[in-house]
Amino acid sequence: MPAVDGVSMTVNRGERVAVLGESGSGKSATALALMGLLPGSADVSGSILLDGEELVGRGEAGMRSVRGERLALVFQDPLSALNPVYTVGRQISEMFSRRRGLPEREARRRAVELMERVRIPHAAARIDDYPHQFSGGMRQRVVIAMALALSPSLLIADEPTTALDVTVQAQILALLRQLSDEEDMALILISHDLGVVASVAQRVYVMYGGQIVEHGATQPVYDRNAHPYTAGLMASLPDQYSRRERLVAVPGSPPDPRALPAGCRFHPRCGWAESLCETTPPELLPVDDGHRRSRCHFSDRVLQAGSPR
Amino acid sequence: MQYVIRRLGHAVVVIFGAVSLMFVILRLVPGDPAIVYAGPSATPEQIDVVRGELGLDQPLYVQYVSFLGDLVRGDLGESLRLGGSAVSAVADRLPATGLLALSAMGLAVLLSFPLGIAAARRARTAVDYSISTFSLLGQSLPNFWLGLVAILVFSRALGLTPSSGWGTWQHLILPAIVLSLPLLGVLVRLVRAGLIEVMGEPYILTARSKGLTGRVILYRHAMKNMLIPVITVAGLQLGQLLSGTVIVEVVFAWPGVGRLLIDAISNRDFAVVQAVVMLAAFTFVMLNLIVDLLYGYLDPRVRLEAK
Ligand SMILES: Nc1ncnc2c1ncn2[C@@H]1O[C@H](COP(=O)(O)OP(=O)(O)O)[C@@H](O)[C@H]1O
Ligand code: SF4
Ligand SMILES: [Mg+2]
Repeated sequence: MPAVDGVSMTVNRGERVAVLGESGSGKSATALALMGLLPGSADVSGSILLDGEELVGRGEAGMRSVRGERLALVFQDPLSALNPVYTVGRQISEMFSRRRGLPEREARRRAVELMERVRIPHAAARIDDYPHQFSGGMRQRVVIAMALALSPSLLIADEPTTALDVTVQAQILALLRQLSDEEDMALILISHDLGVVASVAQRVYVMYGGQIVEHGATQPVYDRNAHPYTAGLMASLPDQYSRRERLVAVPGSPPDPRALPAGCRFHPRCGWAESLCETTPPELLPVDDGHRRSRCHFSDRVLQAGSPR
Repeated sequence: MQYVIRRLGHAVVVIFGAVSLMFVILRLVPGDPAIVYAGPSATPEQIDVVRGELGLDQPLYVQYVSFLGDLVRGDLGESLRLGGSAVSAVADRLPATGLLALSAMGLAVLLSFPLGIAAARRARTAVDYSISTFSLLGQSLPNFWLGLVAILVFSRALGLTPSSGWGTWQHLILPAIVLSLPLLGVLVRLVRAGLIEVMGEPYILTARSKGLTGRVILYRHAMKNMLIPVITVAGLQLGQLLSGTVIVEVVFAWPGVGRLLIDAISNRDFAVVQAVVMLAAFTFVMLNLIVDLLYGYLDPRVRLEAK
């Protein structure tokens, strides 16, 4: 079952891009699939080009050496992402001891350094604490420290702030921005939150039904949607990210990956749909000035209209 | 520290309760130790004399109070049948039972992990189904039946092992295996289920996303978490295994505490029965304590709450 298919993304060193879509649109599945972490039953294809080099799709053994080393993942819920029975120190330091074969003491020293780098106060004292002894925000910093350990060239953060308090969210986002600048590390931020995406990413991939449906620089995409789904997302946002007056969010919910609609996967919810949409799946094609792409038979019309139907 | 004191208090209550309950039961069920002790040819008058000597003519509560008084002084009474103290009668038999029980536990623990892990890693394959069927059988077939079948097949038909008694390591094989099977069955199923559940936890996905090898993920990240539920149930199952020693010792004529208990019950040898019950209660309480300590060691969340 193709829960995720043909998701191709390109990123440059140090660049920050976002994957945007409502929950259930296949964002997490995409992240896991790209890292080769989905169970074998899931039929996936995809690609991440980092500075033109393919990072994914090299079989289990090949992917294992890529994980952590080139490509790292930060999960949504840091409490369940951390092993409850080991100290945070051991979970960070095993990146050095198990992956790099460093002696325990050296690995531990580096773990403290990493904890300091993600700004966990009193790192040296807290290294022997267990995950449940940390606050949500601090736990997410631990997870980020683990992901940064081997200086990956690309970090995928899957809803890294969704499980956190609002006040902490901004701090974690600021940390991710700062780290990507400091380390010249590319960042793929996955989020359903238009505000979060706008505050972090230079480019955005809008995702629906396991596919990319629109792609372009963040501001132009927010200002003038080329896909009815993106337009619907914008409609749910009443603030500064949209200039025009919005009416309704997209009614309905994303398709079950086991029962995808024929033709355009969005057609049952689309106000622009015509009979063509029910039979022929649209392709992701360049629109406008060519720096943007949209997966809609009527991209040009949507772009012209400038407001959702 | 406070925790340990509370646990010890708890242990005393459990042992006291078990012994008291046994005291009452022994005296309510039919059968008079005086008759057994006085011998089959004794006259009713002689039996009355014996009953007086043993204090059995006193009201129940008087007997109970004097029993408790002796208990506090560490005196569990004399064995009417064997002569000598009931404690030494039990102590004599303890090594045989200890050897049997520990061998069975060791066997169950050593075999259950590789089998449970193999079944979990190849879940829903022929390997898994064979292992699961085997453990279900081990868990559900009664000890005495397994014991008799084992004797018939391995001793009588194949002549591989002695059928009863003790003395050499060959004598130990069949009873230890038979005794271990129920625990083995339970442990295999627990390990299998525990591992399958833990391998689906998000932190295992994290471990994989860190590029760790399957071996490190299984033996480091999954194992310790899997042990938490396994240890809890295994503690209860060890109690089962101990009660199983009674049957296995009888079937294999193994000279341990279990057989002593059966003999003592049929001979109304109250003091010995009391001593065995006390030992059993004590062992059970100790097992529970060990399980709780292990639990705290394995799960830091529990450890911190207890402090
Ligand atoms: N390989 C798969 N097999 C079965 N269901 C899948 C698979 N991939 C995704 N799904 C389902 O598709 C939906 C979208 O998944 P998810 O990636 O979690 O979305 P998001 O992260 O955008 O909220 C979910 O209902 C999920 O259970
Ligand atoms: S292709 Fe048709 S159904 Fe799909 S988004 Fe475009 S207009 Fe809507
Ligand atoms: Mg998700």
